[in-house]
Amino acid sequence: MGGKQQGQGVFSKQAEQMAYSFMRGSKQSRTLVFQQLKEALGTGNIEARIPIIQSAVEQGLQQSSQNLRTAESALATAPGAGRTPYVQETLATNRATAERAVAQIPSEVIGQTVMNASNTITAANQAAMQLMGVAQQGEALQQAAKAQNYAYKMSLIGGLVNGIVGNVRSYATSGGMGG
Amino acid sequence: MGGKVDTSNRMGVAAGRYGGQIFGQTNAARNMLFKQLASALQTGGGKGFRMPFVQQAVARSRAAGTAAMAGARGGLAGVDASIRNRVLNRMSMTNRQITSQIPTAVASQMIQQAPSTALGQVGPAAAGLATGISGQQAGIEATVSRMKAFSQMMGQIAQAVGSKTEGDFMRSNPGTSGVRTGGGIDPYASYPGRSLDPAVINARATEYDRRAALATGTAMPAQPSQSWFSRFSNMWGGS
Repeated sequence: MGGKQQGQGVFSKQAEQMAYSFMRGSKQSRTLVFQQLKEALGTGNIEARIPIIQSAVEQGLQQSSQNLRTAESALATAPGAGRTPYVQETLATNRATAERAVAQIPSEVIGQTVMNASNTITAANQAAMQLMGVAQQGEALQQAAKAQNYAYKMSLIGGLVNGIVGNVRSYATSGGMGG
Repeated sequence: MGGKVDTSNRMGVAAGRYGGQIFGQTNAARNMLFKQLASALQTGGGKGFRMPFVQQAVARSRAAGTAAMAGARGGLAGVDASIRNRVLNRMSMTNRQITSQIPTAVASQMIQQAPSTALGQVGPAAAGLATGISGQQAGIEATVSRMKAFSQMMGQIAQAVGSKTEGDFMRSNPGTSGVRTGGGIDPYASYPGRSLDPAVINARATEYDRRAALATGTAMPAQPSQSWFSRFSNMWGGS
């Protein structure tokens, strides 16, 4: 048949490069997300693996300390203030509430990760299956191409044999082999 | 070159590698999630609810409550004992309440998500099966295509070696050497110039008439009633 073989097109090449770039670029994030998810589900404790928990706790502690100071100064300057049981109770309650709120931050962050696990895993499954579908398409094309090459070889062999037999026949018909 | 096509599957292999990579990365988490989801559905967050996150959250909550109580005790030092105890009791109750609600709250959220979590796997599973079927189909098509090509090749060879000479074989002399001499596409058209001896054919035609007369109980015709070609053909076909 002849003819120049058509290679991969420009946009196809670009799309391929973009795909590799997306996958390379997101590799570290994907690894961390799945590691954290596994840790969160497996141990329920991923504080060391999620730096945002540390910073959120520090921020929470600073904020609650500031709030307590503000409350203390407000109560100290209020009419009839001082170290009254009401002031003591209010400050103690505020401090306890703030401490509890800060202490709950890791659980909240990890809880969000755990509660999002379903969506994360479903999205990952879909992505994985999409990729496998693409892989299968490539494989099907490869199989078809191999079959095409095989057909090409077979047609060459068939044509060759046909030609040889035709030549022998022609030779025989012309009286070269008796008759 | 000519005819040969590119059979590399670079992108397919890359896609398969990435797909396998993502599946491998999520495999452990997926198994854990479904075990914990089943536990939440079975226990409703009550006795037997197995979820490390809940155990950790309960432990953290208790620790936070204890720390808050310690802080409050210090802050309330010097305050009237009845007031201090009332405050501490209230805080203690609140702590216990918050802590005890954790397993149920988490299980409740998980149960709410359970239908979408469970059914969310059906889509990818169906996609996976569809991919498997497509692969099977592609494999079958490729095999059929190869078989067709092989069959066509054999057909070409058979045509070259046998088909064109079949008519010769039926209608002309195979010859003692086995090399058929008919050679043409239409042996009838090329008959007169061939090596068949008309006397031989005539003798065979007469023999055919004799056999036919014996079989039917009729008399032999005085002259051959059919053309040599058809008689000869009949003789060979019927023998």
